[in-house]
Amino acid sequence: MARIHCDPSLGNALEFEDVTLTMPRRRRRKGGGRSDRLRRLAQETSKVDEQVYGNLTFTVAPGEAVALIGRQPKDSTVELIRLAAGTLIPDHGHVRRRDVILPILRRAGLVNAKLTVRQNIFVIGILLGLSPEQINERMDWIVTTAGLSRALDSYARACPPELRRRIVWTVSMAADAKAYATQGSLIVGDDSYREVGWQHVEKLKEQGATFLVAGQNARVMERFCTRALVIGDGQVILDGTVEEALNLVGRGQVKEDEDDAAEDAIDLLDSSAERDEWRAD
Amino acid sequence: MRRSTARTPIHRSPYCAGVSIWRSRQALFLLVRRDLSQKYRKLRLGYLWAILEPLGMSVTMWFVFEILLGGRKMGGQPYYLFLTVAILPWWWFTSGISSATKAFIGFSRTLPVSVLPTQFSVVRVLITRTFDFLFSLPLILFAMLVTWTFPGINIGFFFLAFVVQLILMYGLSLLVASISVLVPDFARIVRIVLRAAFYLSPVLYSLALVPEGARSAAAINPLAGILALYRVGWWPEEHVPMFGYAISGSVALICVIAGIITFLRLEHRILKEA
Repeated sequence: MARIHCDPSLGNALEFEDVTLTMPRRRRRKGGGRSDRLRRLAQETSKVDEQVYGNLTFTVAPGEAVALIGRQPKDSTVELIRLAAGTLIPDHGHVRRRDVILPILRRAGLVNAKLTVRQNIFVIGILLGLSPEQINERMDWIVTTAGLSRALDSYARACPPELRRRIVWTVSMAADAKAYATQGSLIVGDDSYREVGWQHVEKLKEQGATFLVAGQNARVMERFCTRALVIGDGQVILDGTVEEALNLVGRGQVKEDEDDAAEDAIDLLDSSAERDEWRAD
Repeated sequence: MRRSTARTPIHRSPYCAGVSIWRSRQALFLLVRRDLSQKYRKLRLGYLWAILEPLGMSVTMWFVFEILLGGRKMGGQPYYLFLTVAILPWWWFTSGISSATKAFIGFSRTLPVSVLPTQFSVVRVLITRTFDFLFSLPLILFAMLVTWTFPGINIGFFFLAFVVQLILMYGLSLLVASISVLVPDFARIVRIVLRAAFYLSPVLYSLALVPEGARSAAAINPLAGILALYRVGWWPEEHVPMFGYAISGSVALICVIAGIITFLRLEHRILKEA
């Protein structure tokens, strides 16, 4: 399943070496002057490249559960998760991973409302690098764990966001990767389901899986993580225990990410290009 | 700050990407099937539209150029068949390329979580359009029956043309899709270029009508060679000289290589936009 480049001979689960990354950000236009005022009124934005990480270097040993915490709200950790998983390429430096690191981002919207739940499981599984045989094999486990038996052949349109989140989570967990990079979705669901999640995640950790946990609240990190990295101004400013990190940042600052899964309207697997614009010319 | 070093694409080589797309073919076809049904679902006539649209176009063109302006022969006879054989591949080409402009933009939300190659969505769009093309092929049969003209042994070139066009479209789709992520205006430019290409390619006319001097210039258009290959089954005289095929073929190859290189160079920026 090595689709993203992995290096099995690596001693660490993950190595960041001198990683620098800039991301395009949309920024409101500022400034005085007539034309600038007009642009501001029109809420025009400009795209600016902002440096997110500069010369970031750290390693993660196999079996560690590392909490990633931003020093301030502007210190983003999503990109770190994507870099680790390989769905983002650094501008400079290298990211090396021993095994596939599975990205689990808050994307309940990944569930496609126009497919049935069964088809959705299939598609999400494929996106996460499972083969169709593997998905069939694990279908039972997915269905029982996520409690989908009744909804399995109905369209995902009917699923509440809560259930969608569970579908994505369960399929990701069924992938049995040796490493996970999660952004705000280590544990999902309502109270009763969270317990199922905890049991599973802790079992994985015992089996030696590596975790990168970002965008979770302080309680989850304290319970689960063995190490914490605090990111400030694009650098690692603290590498220690979760307690030290929380003392530095402040417990209240560490919040669970808001779910970007907008409701039904968004159909993320769909191109907006459904309407055929081709004209006879 | 150090100078930018070479960035490693997610998949080390186009070959690796090909392998992992091949492994995910089942999901690919599931999505393609859904794309197709989605497209025709709301229409009363459903899949018939895959046929009716090109049919309407070829009948119109035939009417204008054969009946209204029939004084000058534009290409092989019967002209209706001559037109249909080229219009279908042209339709496929233009719809494929113009929907490729949205391939990365439309599916950008899956890029952060997907361990599939980034090219996956381009391939998906391309295959959907290819099926559209295959569905419309009965129109050629229809035109053959109406005009009672049947192909000779040269029809084998039809399949060669199909394969060459598919490869060319893959390269061009990658090129167009990557650039239009970064330059939003690019989709409009593509539309204009496609419109111009319709008249510059021998769809309505035969390449033999182009003046001798301009013919090798016309062969620079890779579609000139491809469309000729589609037609030789019925009209062996449509064969472009070997030299023409060589030019068309090498331009097509350049397009494909340019597409792949552009994509590999822009991949990190495409991912950032997601």
